[in-house]
Amino acid sequence: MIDATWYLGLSGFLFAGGLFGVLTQKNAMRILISVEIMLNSANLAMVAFNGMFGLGIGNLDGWIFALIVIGVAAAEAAIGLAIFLSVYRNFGEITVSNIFTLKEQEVAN
Amino acid sequence: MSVFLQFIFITVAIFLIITMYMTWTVEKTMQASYWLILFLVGISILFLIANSEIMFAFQLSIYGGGISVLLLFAALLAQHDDYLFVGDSIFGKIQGLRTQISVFLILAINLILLPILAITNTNYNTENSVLGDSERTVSEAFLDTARFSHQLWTEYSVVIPFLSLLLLTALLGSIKLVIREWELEELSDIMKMRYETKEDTQ
Repeated sequence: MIDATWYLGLSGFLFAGGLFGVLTQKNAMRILISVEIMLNSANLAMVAFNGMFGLGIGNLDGWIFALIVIGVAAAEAAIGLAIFLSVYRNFGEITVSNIFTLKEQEVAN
Repeated sequence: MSVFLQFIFITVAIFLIITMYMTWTVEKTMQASYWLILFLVGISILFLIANSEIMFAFQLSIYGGGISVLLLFAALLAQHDDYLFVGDSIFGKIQGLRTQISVFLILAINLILLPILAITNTNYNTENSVLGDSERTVSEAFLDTARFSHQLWTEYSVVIPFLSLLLLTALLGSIKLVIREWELEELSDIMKMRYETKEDTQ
């Protein structure tokens, strides 16, 4: 049997890795990829907890929350990538540290 | 069987750490997206060996199929790369194209084989739950999937409309963002210059 602590340990490690990526990467696409890694590690923890407490007794809250996270991640990826494309058309790059003018610019409708 | 599942878990965990590292360090954003696909498939295998068959299917179809294709398209359309580790160090060697292709192929083949081994080595008739202490028969194992759908349409019936509304809003929002035409004055200097040169050549 695989102990749930293995899952939780791996999940924590991957979450920390994703956070490291978010904090250190400059390219917006890579930041989004790191966010996806963090969301997946959270999903892993939820599925592991569900396996520990829910399976067999019919309580599957962990799966439901993991499904919600997957849906939210899909929406986040769609919006995030649309923003990147819009920023790329405007600035010619998606390096986060270089797009400081974004906050100064008025976006007309 | 449990030792074999532990072996699969550890192998996939190592693969996940390697793929996560590669998403940070590879030269192109496009390559980072490929490595992310392997990462997502690896996570789905962990779902499978945690007896979450339906989550395995969701993860493969939504994450491994949908979101990764979206990321690949975005990487193609906005080709600009900036990466963390550079130089002739060990990290630089890892970034080499041949090394990357070999490691990618090895991981991809293993990630295809591992779920097949996990499924064929799971004896559903005797003992199935790898996380809990409960023992499940084959009918009980897939009863959880039935319970999941039942719970989704009764207790959590708000989830599907919520997700539908969220995804519809995201779809409309992203279309609105992308189809907007920028005025030349609104653009940055670099892009203004690019567009002006383009117009001059035409």
